[in-house]
Amino acid sequence: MATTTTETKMLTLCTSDKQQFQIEETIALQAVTIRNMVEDECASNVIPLPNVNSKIMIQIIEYLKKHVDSSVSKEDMEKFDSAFVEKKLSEIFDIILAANYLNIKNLLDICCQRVADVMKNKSPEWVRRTFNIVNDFTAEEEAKIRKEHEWAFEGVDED
Amino acid sequence: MGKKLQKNKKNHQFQRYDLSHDRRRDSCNYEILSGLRFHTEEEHKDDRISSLPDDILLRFLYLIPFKDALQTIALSTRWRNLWNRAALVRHGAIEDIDCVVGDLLLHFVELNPLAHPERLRFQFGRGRILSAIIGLGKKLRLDFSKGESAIPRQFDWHLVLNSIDPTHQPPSHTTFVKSLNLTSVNYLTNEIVSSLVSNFQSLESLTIARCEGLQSLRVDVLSKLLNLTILDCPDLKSLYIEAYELQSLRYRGPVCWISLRGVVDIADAMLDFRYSPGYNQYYSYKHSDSLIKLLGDVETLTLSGGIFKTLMHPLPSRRFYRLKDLWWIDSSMEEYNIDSLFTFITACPSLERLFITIDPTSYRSPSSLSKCYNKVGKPARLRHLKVVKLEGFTKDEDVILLKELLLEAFNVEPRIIVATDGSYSRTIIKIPKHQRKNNLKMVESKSQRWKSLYKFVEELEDNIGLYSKHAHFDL
Repeated sequence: MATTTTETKMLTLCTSDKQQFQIEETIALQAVTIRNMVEDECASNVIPLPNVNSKIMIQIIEYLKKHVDSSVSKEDMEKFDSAFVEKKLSEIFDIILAANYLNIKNLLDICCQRVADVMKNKSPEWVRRTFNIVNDFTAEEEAKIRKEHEWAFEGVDED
Repeated sequence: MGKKLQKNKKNHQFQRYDLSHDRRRDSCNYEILSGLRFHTEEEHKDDRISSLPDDILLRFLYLIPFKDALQTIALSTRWRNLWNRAALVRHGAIEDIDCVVGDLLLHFVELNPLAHPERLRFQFGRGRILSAIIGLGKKLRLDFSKGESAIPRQFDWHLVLNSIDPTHQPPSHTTFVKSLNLTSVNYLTNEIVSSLVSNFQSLESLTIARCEGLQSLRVDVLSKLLNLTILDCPDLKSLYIEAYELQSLRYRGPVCWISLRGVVDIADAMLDFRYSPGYNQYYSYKHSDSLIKLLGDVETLTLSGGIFKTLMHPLPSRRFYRLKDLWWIDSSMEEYNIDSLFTFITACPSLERLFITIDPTSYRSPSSLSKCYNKVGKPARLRHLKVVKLEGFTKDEDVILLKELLLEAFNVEPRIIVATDGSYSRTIIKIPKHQRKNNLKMVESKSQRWKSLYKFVEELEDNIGLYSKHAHFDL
């Protein structure tokens, strides 16, 4: 599948749902996992990424393409990043898992920050409701845990 | 995307948000909350966040204010376990330890006003791990004991602490740590730890524990340091301490050359020499006077009998007027050991509590020094001695013997409590005359006579008030 032109070297990424993405090597190499695979020469020109599906891959490529462009000003890059993470949380989680697997530090950072911003300054009830976290403590257990940390529950916005 | 997650999604696709999931939560809260708008997706009701790996969840915790991070402990078992496992995980090279710990402190000082304990796990080299914990009371512990252990290699260590550079204002995190514990530092890590702690300016307590290969230790600290504790460094041969405000010096480990400068009149001292024979064949202590001087004002003391015999015998005329709590550790209850103990407590007129531990691994003095008990002057009356607690006594006869000897030598009858591993403590009491079975005249040997005079009963008032543990017991 892969083609090498005279100007740019291309890599083909194959996602879990067997979709192939042909992208410039310089873009793909921002992902440390891909870079290691290429450097170790343990991959042919088609790099299998069994932990990433095509839907997420499209978004990740969008991010990598922007970030490889050195002409973009720092300000614009920040704008891009903050717009990029304006997604549903479920998508953010998927991107986090993929970025973690592909080892793209900046992407992981901004996505984790997005989740952290949602969690920030919220009551535990709010966090549970937002993230559908099932409270598996009994009332007594929870009361006990809360009592231990009573002071930590003061002054938190219900939001 | 991982197959597992895909599958998860399918399973939950038609599942409505079920109140029963939250059955334990206050229903009133639910009513309020359900009326609020959430900018989260409506179609997914599965708990995606909890299925993320620990490292990712810890990242979230690291990014939110500490008080919020702390609250997550009450979310669910999953999140609670995260706290138990806790620790932020970092990887890097050994040279990064400096920065990583600095960052942890900086983060703690600036972003953690509630000062809840914080943990860091730093992996470096080949499977080596530093676990750093910031505890309540401005404590920092750096522990290298986890992970792959290095081949022990001997090293000398020089620590310079609280050295104030008046020319520049120190960063806040370097003045933050008051109490520092360094555990299992070895020949690979000692230099980086030295350089890290040389930044600290306000240390009041320093503990160095279980450092294999450490053969000589020098600690220079001009001011502020009040407590120094050195525990179980099996290869230590020499210890040099220069400290001018020290109030407590605690040492447990092999017999080693101890040299002190600036250390006088401390209130709390422990000289617990175990794991003999150690260094004793080369050991001729010329500074026993300075050691005695060191102990002049001591109130709480732990001493191993063996070292007392080697270093301080015969006892100089000096008395230890302030000594209230004495923990005496000896290798056996042989007569000459009791003799040395008695020689020592003769010089302790204020003694209130005496703890005796028989530990066969304790330092044994060379036999030539064994029989040299001589009664020095008039013994103190030990009017204040209330409690004697015994540990490691295997024979009841020894307990009775001690009781009789205390009565004979000092005319005191303190409450004697015998602690036994895994069972209740016991106390020894005199059997009232009318209950005694044997006719005393019939009993010939002394020990048999004593046996018929006393019995042991369960001790109830364990570890409270006067019966509480010696300050050095839990080190």
